[in-house]
Amino acid sequence: MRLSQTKSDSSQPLPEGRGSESSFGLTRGYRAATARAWSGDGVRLRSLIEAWNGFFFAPQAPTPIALFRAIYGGLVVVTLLLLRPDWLTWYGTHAWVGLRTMQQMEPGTRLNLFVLLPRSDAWIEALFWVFLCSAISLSAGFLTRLNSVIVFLCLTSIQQRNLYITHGGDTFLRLAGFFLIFAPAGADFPSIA
Amino acid sequence: MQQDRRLPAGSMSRPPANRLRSVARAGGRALQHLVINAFLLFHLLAITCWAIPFANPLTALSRSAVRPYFLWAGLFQSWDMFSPLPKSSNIYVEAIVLYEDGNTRNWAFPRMELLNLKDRYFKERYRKFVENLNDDAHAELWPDAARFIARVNNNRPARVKVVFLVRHWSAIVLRGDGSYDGAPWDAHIFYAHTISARDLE
Repeated sequence: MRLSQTKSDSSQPLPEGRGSESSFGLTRGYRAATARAWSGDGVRLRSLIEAWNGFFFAPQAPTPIALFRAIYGGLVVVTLLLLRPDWLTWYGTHAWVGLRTMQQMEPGTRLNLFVLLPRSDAWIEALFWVFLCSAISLSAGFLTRLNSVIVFLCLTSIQQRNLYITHGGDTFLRLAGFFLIFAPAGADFPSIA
Repeated sequence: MQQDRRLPAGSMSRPPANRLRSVARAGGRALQHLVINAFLLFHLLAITCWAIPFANPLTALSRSAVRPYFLWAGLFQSWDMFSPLPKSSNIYVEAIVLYEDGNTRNWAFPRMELLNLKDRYFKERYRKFVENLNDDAHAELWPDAARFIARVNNNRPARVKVVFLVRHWSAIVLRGDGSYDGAPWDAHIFYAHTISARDLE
């Protein structure tokens, strides 16, 4: 008999019913409880992994995320149109807050296209028009992945350019835009491509 | 015949190149799965640590660890709208523009309470900006704001000489019957900026 082998391990298969319980009650009860605990943990861990995989990887109808994408794109378009009279007031070369002031007040390396653009209002206007076209395309579901990247880059850039005029709604759009890049938002309703 | 027996059923008819390709594809899928899971786990934990409203050494440490990435990617956020101290006064900011000939002009930021519904949507950014401008912690904004106001008002024969930023405030007072009322308005100049010719370019 091996050391790890218990008496019950070596016993013959037990008959079902009271007889077996009364004969081996203590040993079997302990073993059963231990087995249940281990199996419970196993089940819990397995079901946790299954739930995780189910939530993040199970194929789902793309309609909700596509609908979200359409609404999201629409909100970005509305935000840009409401800002339209003040594009250069807030983000131009002679804006309320200069780019250098912003970098001094909010230091750190950040995704900000304004840092890369030539210091010219024409370039800044061009950036906004690209942003607007991209947001409209994203809303329509045209070249969704590419446009979700462009929209996120532009949105992050205008917010980093002037963080002192952003509110909670802007923060939501920025964060949602980041995760939208990785979502299969280009499929299904309502999409033109 | 012996070799055939060693192969799993179904793979006998498959050429080796196809088998290799399917193994590589399965490996690629597993790697993709791993990368996606790592990405998800990292962001879930990092965002939780960043946004959790408790101050303890562990969250402080994790915040400082993810800070460079969050600042770079724009994933930072804060949800401290009305806490811990809700505002206890009404405030608005105006500017007094002094020209070289001694004349002055009052210039006001758009005030939401004085605008109609449509204009409020278009000028909402001013509300947020003035809120920050008024904060002494953001004093670095003041010179830029003064220069902007000077440029906007530089449309007279005499050049703009000085811009004063004026804070108007009225404390919100709790009355005996439990209602709130505004105290009389007060004002003071919190910043003066002498405008150079270069500021007006």
